[in-house]
Amino acid sequence: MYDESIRILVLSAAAFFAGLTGFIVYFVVLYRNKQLKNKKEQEQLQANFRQELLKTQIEIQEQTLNHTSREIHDNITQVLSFVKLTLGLTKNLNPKETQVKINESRELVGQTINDLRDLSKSLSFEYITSLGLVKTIEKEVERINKSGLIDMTFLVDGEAYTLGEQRELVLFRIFQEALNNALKHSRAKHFKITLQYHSDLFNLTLEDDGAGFSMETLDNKSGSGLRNMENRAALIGGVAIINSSPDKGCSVNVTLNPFKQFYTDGRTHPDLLS
Amino acid sequence: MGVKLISYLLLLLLVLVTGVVRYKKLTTPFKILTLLIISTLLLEISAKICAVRFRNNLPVMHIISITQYLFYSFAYYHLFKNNIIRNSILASIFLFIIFFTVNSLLIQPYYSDFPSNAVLASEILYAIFSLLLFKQMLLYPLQVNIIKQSVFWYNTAMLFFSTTMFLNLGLINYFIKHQLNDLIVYDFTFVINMIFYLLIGISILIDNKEISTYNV
Repeated sequence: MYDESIRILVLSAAAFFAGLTGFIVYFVVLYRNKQLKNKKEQEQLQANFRQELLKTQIEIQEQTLNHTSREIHDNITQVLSFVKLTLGLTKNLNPKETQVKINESRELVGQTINDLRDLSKSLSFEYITSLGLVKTIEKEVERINKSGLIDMTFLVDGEAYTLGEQRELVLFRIFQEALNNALKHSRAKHFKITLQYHSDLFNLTLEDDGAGFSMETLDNKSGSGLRNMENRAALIGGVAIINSSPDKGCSVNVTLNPFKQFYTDGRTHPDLLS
Repeated sequence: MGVKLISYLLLLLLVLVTGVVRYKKLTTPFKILTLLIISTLLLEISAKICAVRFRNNLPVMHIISITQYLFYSFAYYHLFKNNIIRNSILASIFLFIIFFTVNSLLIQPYYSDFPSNAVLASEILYAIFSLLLFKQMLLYPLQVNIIKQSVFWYNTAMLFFSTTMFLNLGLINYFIKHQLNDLIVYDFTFVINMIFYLLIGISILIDNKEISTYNV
């Protein structure tokens, strides 16, 4: 009877454990497959992010080159032409008048050298990343205000901290896009930039008082720049909210948690799958 | 005290020491498990003392039954991400307390009957929780080797123990019905208990706040 008890117990236990082990092994295999699939998706997202970042860098450089080209054409070329003309006229003047003209020309050439120096610095987007977001926007605001194209206001609320090179680059690009839209499409007279630095939240607000637009009537072409802003904000772990209505200007609000990880985090844990 | 009881209590003590030493590094559900081990150890010792002194440890068995359900349920509550499941666990705790009270007072009195109804009901729920948690693990896989995940070991332990208890019950009933020697089943139960607490011990040993995202 004891032998029969043992036999029944062993058979039942063996069948049971075989079933349970089979289930656990099946689960482990399924889990491993899921991990590999997730890893591939993560890599794809990281690749997309790198591509988008590269695109952002290229666009910033394009913008900078366009600005440089305009500055050279509108400003530097004009000033040097004026200097050439002025110096050309000195052959008909007396020594005292000639000296005055030469001094004026020297001042203008000196100013041009300074402008060229500033331009050469701004050609590199690494210049942007080394200065940080606040200083870069400040310089841009200064430049635009000098040009008189639009009246810009820049406010910083809270103590500024770094958000990381990549995020600041993307935020600067969003700022450039919004500014471009205000200058080219909306005929805005004022453009306000606000940066809010809180301990657990960062906010960038870009507002203009231009013609505005109806959110419903945006087509693919005209809305792509705005959608770009939303996508880029999402890539760096933020949220971009764009609000506008006809004759009420446009506002772009980008919010992000400065401590939230996003897809380009390169940290690894020793137990992470290779 | 038999060898089996001593080895069982020693294993509980070992798991307890592991949990206490690593307490600060543990995530919330495994801190709850450590507290459960403390209470299990104390209650098992109390049960033995009552058995020897009063020849009746059934009231302690009732306390063990409800205590374990509360601790395991709270551990699962902290492991699930889905709010519906979490709320269901809270509801089950409330309902189980009512069921347990009625069972212990009226159906299987605490002074005379083993709370098999409460134990069976809790084992069914543990099996359901563990299957749901396995499903959650598949939906939100971590990029960490599964063998190094404490949740896997804990969940395997719960599934293993809860399903084995049904096998146990079936075997005991069969053996009694066919007048076979059922003592061997109690030896089998002892082995199951040991394996269960060993798996719990492994899960507490490898649990780490840094790599776990299940702690919500």
